[in-house]
Amino acid sequence: MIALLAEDDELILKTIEHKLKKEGFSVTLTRNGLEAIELLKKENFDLIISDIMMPFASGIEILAELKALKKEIPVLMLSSMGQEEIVLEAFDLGASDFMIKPFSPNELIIRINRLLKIK
Amino acid sequence: MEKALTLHDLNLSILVILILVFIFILGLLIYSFREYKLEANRQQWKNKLDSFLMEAIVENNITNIPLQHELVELSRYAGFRRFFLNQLISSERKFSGVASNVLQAVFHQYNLDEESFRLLNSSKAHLIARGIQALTIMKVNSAYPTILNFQQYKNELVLHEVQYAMVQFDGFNGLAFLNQLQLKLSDWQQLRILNSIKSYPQNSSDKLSEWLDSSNPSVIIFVLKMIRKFQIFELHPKLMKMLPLHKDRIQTEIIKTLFVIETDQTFDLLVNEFSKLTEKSQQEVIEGFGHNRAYDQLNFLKDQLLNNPNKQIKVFAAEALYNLVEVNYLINLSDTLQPQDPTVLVLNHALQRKI
Repeated sequence: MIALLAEDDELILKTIEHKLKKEGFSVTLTRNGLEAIELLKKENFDLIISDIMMPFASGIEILAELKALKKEIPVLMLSSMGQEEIVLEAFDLGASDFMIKPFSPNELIIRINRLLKIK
Repeated sequence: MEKALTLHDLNLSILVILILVFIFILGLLIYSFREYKLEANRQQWKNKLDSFLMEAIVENNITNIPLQHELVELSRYAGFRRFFLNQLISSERKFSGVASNVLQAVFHQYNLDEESFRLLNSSKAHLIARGIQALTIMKVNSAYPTILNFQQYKNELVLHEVQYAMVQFDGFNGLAFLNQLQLKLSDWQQLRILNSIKSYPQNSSDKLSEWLDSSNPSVIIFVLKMIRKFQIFELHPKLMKMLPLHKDRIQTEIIKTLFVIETDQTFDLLVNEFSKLTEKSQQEVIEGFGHNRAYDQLNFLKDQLLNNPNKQIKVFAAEALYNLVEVNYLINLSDTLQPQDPTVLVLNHALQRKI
């Protein structure tokens, strides 16, 4: 299983990366939305975890690009409190699930496993 | 008689100026070097702490937090301790569950609770605020009485942290600070506090009702948001009474709230008050009818579309009708009206925006 992890906060990025690796995932990291979009065009992923607010391109733009590429990949979005409207937009664009920060990394793994089972 | 400036005096002046310029440049260089070193240190500390915290979180072990020799050594410096504290506070905002407990364990293991208490004795307001914030976020219950001593402090930053602490430690009862709040409760602070209140105790509507009569508009707006969050239906009559008494933002916030705690009378009551409302509130009512499926108000909306002189209200009415699946009515109306009729423009605009 290959996961794309897009997040600009170093601690969150590294923590999720280690959690995913412990679960047997191979993880591709990116710290900005534009790079995430480029990676999506070039490579195939089984799962995407993306922050909503990121430099150069937002998580919403990543979802829009995914839709344009017609790739059906489960996407779990991370958002901060006060971004409820953006979260609704994300669901409209095909996000599979979202978690609001502060979030529990253990719960994130449970949700990912559930998402992949549904798929 | 005035003494003439000699060549020697001139040389001396130039020399003094050159020395001053030299001292200034030297000072600037020393300052820049120190800033550069500090920034480099911070970056190094950040990487070390990120890696340490990440490992602690991934390990999930609350009872056995490692005491890293390097971090203990660095903790002898006040600059590092404060940096460590800041990193922990910002990390606590990112994680919940076991990860959050791990961060609290790190906080105590590295004696950062002592550092936070020390900050409360500082003469600088931003450091006091940071100390309160740390003790609150790390749930140090024993600090609460000390934090309460800052309730009358003459600095907004400190007061915001005290308010947040009161709600974190005392839940709904911590909102007692609203009783006499004179300062504006900023939107961000409202969001922060609202997010911290996890439950609403039964039979507390009297207290909310009291705050709704506050002379501080930001308190009223905050309480309206709380009514929406906890869906406190028993305050519907009170809000209806308040509606004509307010203007501007409070009025629109009341309308938003009424739609959330809607009863079978809400729509009719809003229609009765409609002509007395501000334009912004009228738009809110019409928009709310569209979203809240007000099928019993179709005639009212049609009337607003055809007869209200305000173009913006017409657009909102057309959009609400569209939401209530009255597309055919809108299309037929568009066909029957004269092309130069201003309502046709509104209809086309509304339909285009929706399609």
